[in-house]
Amino acid sequence: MSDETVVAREARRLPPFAAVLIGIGFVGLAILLSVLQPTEELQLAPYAQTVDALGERYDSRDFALTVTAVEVVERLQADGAALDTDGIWLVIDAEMVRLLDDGSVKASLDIGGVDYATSVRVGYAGLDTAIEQPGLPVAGSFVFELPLAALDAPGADRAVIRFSTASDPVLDGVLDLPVDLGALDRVDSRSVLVAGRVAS
Amino acid sequence: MRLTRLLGRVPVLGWVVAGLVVAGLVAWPLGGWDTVRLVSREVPSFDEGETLEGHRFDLTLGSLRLSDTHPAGYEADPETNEIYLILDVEVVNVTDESTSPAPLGSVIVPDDPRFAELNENYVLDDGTSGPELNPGLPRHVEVVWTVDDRDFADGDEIAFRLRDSIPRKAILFRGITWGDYFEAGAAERVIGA
Repeated sequence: MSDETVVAREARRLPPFAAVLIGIGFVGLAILLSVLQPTEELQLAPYAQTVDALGERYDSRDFALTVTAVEVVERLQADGAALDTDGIWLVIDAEMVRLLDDGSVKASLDIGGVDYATSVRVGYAGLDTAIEQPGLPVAGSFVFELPLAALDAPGADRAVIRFSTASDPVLDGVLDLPVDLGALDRVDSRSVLVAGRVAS
Repeated sequence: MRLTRLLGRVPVLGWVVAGLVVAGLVAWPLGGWDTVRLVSREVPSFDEGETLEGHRFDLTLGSLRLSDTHPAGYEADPETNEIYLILDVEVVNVTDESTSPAPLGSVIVPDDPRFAELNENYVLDDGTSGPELNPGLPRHVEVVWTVDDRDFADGDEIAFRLRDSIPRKAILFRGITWGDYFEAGAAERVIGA
């Protein structure tokens, strides 16, 4: 091997510190990618549309919803019977219609990262229990039974009521209704609107 | 002399590795490290009105009674010797997620051979079955077991294991899962007392 060839090869070889820096650079890039990769929650998150106004119809992929009232209720009746509680009621009156296939519309409530489910105490009067064919609108009430402290909990002023066709929607359309629980109308006593068909 | 010299040449790390291998070989037939349980741990007993504060639920066990009438309103079938054993429980879900009462079946466990099967269900005062347990909302739940009326009578003492569990990130689905149940307490109640 000639001296010129050896010199040329030596010139092409990276200095040791450069190889170490490149290695550290790749490790840093891998860490950066792992940090920037969307979380599983984000990858599977539903497509949320915000409900900005009461009385207006909002369409999602497989259902449409018109929220007509959101109230905090102290004493609630369903089917003529009083529902005693140590907490308080949140009642959302709405009209829903499925668009593509038969089924119901579920509701859930998020207050500062704490999740609440609708009450099963109202039985089949609850709008979330109404299963209907596409195109047949149903009106009624979604009802939550909450602890009193929930109204003053952190995040109560930006709580979100989510409407969806499944209790855990994945990559599907949902409607989000933001509410300030402290600013809602407070009703002393009322009845649940029994879920029932309305003229389409 | 030669063996001593040879042993003397073994580095410290070699002795550490050898010790770990021997310890592993001893632990293996005994079930391995993970299954070793601390048997000296005392399980507290909870009387009426005393609350067990768990990771998932705060539980206060009340009285125990037998009844021919289910709290949901229907009657036991006398031809099959059915009767309802009902335990009053105050429960608060202390997590950030709503749940059905079904997980209580893994938390309040009768420790009595007369229970042929654990077929409990959960009813509120107004007869609502399977109420949601929203975070922070106190619930008075009646836990109901359908039992054989020839096996149970007023005055019988029933022992319950009260278990707690640790939340961990679910692997097969989103969210968290509750596992690693452990004995957090015990309770004894006399039927009809």
